[in-house]
Amino acid sequence: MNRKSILAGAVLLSGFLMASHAHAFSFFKCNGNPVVWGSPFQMVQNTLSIPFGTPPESSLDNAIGRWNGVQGMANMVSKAPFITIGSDLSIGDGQNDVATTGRAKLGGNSGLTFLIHNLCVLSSSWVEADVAVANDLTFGRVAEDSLTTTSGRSTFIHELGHAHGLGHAQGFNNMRASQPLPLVGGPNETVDVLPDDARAGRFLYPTGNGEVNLFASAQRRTSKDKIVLNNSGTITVCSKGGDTITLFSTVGNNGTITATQTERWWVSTSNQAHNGGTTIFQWNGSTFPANTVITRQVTFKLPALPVGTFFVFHGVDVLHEVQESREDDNNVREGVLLQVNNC
Amino acid sequence: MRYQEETSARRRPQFIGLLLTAILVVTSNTGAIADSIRAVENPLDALASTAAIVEGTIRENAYTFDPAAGPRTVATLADATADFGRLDDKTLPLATLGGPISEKQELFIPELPVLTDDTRYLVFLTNADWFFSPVVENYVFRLETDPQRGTDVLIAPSGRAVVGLSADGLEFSQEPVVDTQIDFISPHAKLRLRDGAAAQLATAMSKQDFLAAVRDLLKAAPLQGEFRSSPARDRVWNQITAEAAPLRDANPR
Repeated sequence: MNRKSILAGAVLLSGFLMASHAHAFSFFKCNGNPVVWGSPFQMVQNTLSIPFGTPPESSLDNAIGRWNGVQGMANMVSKAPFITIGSDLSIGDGQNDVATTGRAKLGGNSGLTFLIHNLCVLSSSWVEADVAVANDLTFGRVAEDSLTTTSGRSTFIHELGHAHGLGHAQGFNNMRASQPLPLVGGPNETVDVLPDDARAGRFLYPTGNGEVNLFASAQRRTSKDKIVLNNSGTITVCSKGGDTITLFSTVGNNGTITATQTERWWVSTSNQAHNGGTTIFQWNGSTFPANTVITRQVTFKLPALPVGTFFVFHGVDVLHEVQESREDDNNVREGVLLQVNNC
Repeated sequence: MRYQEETSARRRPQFIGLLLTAILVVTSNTGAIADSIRAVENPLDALASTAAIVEGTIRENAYTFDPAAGPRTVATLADATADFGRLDDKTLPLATLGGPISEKQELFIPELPVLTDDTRYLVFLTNADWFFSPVVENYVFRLETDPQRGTDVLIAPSGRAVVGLSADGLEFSQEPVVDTQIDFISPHAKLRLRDGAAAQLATAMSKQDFLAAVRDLLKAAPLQGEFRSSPARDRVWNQITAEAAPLRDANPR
């Protein structure tokens, strides 16, 4: 660890509210035993509805990759080496199909997973999982500072959670019963397995390995169980500095090890300034326990800033004190603008 | 002959050959069709998809199987009364897709609500020509009495108590008041209240307040259509018809 004491001209004025969400993951049991797959399972891509090289395929691939990316959880799901090309897919044929279809054919749901398990006596296991996702969803990358209820990427990762044997769980996770689902920050993929999901996967399919990964998010879960943006709208301040602002800031620890590091808040006129920018606050030595998501309300005084309109960013492990399994999810653009006036 | 009366017991169902069409009460409404089903993102969407809001007690769950309708878990809602909309019968079979498909295997769809025995519920019944579940999305709420106030409160399928309802959405207690993990050895056993549930129930919205909020929302989204107690007959349970998504992408900043 190589922590430094930098305060960047800002002063923490007040305490902060903390909201830590303990695990809530859910799975299905038979006679008290988890229902799991006996061996890794393959999904057969229907290329009529999920053509090669299209955003739906990218969404599917992302979901498979993210679930397999959980360290400490066995790689359970993969794509089959063969495909289906027709429009009629069968449930109950022993083949795990994945396709998109019209929403009306899913009863209005964004996705459905049809799970078949051996009849429960003393224990049971999954024998088939067919995944169907509504084709009116948006399958492209989801902006980190958005709230969307129509993400196909989030739907695929949710349904593949069911395919692994996970049930719904209301937390800062992908297994929430409905969208919007939380996101991770960064310039790249924002739909990823989140701490509670990862913990569930490690529970059902353990390898014993650990993982270190922190991420920042522009969303938070409220005390009334809603996923909302941490910050939104525009905050107007004076260029001379000294104005006090309060921001919600969310950090998740997707890993198995508690991590202590340095956070930073900065502004930029570029909406892609995930690194760099002008620091407005820095906090050394904040700690995030394994498998948690914590949202704090941070209040601080702004330094002098140029007149203009700025995007606001928040980063975790900005000094690279922690070796992480994924580094491109540490910095997030918040959903708020800072308007600096000449005064 | 009633739907649930034809079924065998809980875990080892004997499969029957009668068609659902011959055994279900069917309404004469012509308004609800499959393509009226839409995404439910908020309570107004839910109400627009609702024919009636009813409450009653699930007396039992039983299984049926039909070659087209597939395996069904039929929860019998007894002593049913309508808070909004029309209800013609005091006993209502709620037939959700899922259940044994053979003597060795069972179909389970996690997105669909599970109703437990001997449990009171408030249910939003769909006005669509439904196939998977007769319930609008997850708008099915277990009713429990808050011991402090003596009033009924609602518990969502997530296990959390409902603490608010507005056009923006439902609001829930921070922590669940019941454990929702399903054990397939007894999937319809009533879920126990968690330790400390009483404190959360005390802060929950009363059923009366919930219904008053619904009444307000109905001004913007009145109930329409009628409830059909049988699943759509133009579908086959074990077939998915794949349809491609239009090529488009998000445009993140």
